[in-house]
Amino acid sequence: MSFLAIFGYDIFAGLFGLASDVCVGIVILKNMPRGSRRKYVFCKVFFAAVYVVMLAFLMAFLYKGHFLRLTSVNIAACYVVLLGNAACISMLFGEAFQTCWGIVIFSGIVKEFSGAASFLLLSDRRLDLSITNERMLYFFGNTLMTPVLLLLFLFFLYKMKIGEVYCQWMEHKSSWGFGLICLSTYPLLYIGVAEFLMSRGMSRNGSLIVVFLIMFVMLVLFNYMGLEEQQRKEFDAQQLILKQQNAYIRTLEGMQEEMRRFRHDYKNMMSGMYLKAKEGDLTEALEFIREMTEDFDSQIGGQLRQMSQLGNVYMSEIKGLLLTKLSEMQKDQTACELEVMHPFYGAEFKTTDLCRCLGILIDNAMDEVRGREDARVYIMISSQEDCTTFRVKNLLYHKVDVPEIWKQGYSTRGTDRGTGLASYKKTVDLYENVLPVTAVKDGYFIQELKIRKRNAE
Amino acid sequence: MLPVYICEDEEEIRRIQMEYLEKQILIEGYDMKIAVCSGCPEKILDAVKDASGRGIYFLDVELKGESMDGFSLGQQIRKYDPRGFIIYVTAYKNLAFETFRYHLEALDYIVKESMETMKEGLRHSLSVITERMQAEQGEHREFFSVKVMDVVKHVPVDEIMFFEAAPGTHRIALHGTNDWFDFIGSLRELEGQLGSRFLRAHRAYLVNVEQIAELDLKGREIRMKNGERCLFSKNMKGQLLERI
Repeated sequence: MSFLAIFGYDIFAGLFGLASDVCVGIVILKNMPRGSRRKYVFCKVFFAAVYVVMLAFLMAFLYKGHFLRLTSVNIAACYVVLLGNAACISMLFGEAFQTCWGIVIFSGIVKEFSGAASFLLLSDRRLDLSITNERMLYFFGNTLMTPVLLLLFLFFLYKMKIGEVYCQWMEHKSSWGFGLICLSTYPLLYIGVAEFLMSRGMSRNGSLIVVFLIMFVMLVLFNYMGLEEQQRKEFDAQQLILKQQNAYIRTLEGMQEEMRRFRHDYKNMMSGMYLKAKEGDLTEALEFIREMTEDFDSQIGGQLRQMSQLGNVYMSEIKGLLLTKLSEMQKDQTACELEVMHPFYGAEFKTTDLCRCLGILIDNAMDEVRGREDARVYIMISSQEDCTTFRVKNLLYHKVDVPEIWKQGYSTRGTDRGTGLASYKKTVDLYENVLPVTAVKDGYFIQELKIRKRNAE
Repeated sequence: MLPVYICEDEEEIRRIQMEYLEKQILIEGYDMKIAVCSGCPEKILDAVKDASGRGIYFLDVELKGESMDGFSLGQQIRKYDPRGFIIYVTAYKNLAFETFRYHLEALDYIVKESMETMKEGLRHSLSVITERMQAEQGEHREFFSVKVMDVVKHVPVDEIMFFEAAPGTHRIALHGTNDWFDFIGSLRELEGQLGSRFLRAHRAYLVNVEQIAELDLKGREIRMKNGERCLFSKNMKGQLLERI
């Protein structure tokens, strides 16, 4: 076989491998191309193409020089491909390398799994590529049967929601790191084991079956670790909700207490009013009524209002954030005008990012008004048909140079506070469906975060 | 003459509102006229569709037994009359007014706690509207209007420093004296829309020439009057120097 033919085939195989990694990323893990802004697309695609060509050249060289016969070279080549693919995907989609490595490993295991299955079905010994017939068989297995089986497996895994489980697991850093290292040894394991068994005289199919089993165990392991992580997360979420509900109940109890006190006062006031009315002093009686309504408003009205607005927030993480901020503001003696007119169920923005962004905006507003007379922060969440708006507004007490606030380290109150808005901007810029708005109007500083719903274009 | 629309589901209150408004218009000699007074939002909408120009709307927030509430009625009205004056009337003191103002540019809200406060509110609204209209007449400020998702932002043209295009996206960032926001658009379209006051100084920047403070010829930077900086390309240097 000529060098060129092998080279051509390797280019094809490299492209196929990369494409299938991307597919796995998109279909199974569902978190690949989302959120990244597409900058310099041509450059990136060009680099990817260069990478594929270089890889193909290397592989063709290794094959021609009969280096691939050596187990150690084979394993090393396998790692080179994995690393290269991960770097390539990381560059193409702007995701963290570790995430991409996880995706490549996952897809690699599934690919090996389907490859092993297809060659197991095709022949009972190692194919000799210098014989035309066997070469055809090899190509058939590699280009047709393996992809079909791969799709079948992917579909199966997708149906079993393994991707979601794996995703969950990827988000958990500590067990993820260790697990990833374990899983990264898979080429070592399966090439090594196959060679070892064959050298011990086991038939090729027998060793392939063993490899097959190893892969299967790995997939089960994946699933198990992911499931465990998922359960842990669910547990954490439940704990959080429990905590929030406790806080909520405490607030309600406080209001009940206020209500009881008010009822007591109100009885006294009523009897006073009764006397005044009896004496025919109508203006005094009217004054009483006015005072009473005002009292009610100032004592319980505000909290009642906040709680009823909060009731429209159905996303428990945001509800929790708002509850925390409301109680912080109460401690600071800052009034909060919270408005959630329409029910809010969620936005197409990663939950952790949304919490962080909204938290930064509210913290900034609180910092600005803290300790001032009639300190007040306005928060509005407005869910409309095609987009959701978060708006935080506060009175400005000194001049702000708005273009400066996005810079790392900027703060109006002392050092080591200035990371907020810089990281806010950075996060928001990652999403294509999110628009930030900043304005200074009538002495107010206004920050808006507008999130478009995906189905609305 | 400005048409006045009243949408209020309680008949008694509706009657009081109408009579009081008519009286006020007569006393103050406002150039206004009660057009429709009804409890049914559809009737109001039909009249608004037929009318041209801006109107004054007193809308009840809670419309019991009707197909829409005051908020969605306001949204519908805004489709036909983007510059009209909308005032909300509500039984509850704690109306989510920020939301109303944000989405509908509602002018004010009136609490119908007692007849006195309501009448006071109506009177006040009419005088505020008249003041606004007079102020607008004297003002010839030009505004740049752009849709940012579900709301339209209006920024005075002389408060815009420059537009910045984010590479590889259709996102444009507006940098102003008091406003900074992103929207979807293209610099080429903006160039055509805004005319010669704005100069495409760089592939990624469309600059308001009147707002340039100084040029840094060495660093090829433009410093704007609000202190922000943007770039200009080599071949625009001549044009820039000529224009400022």
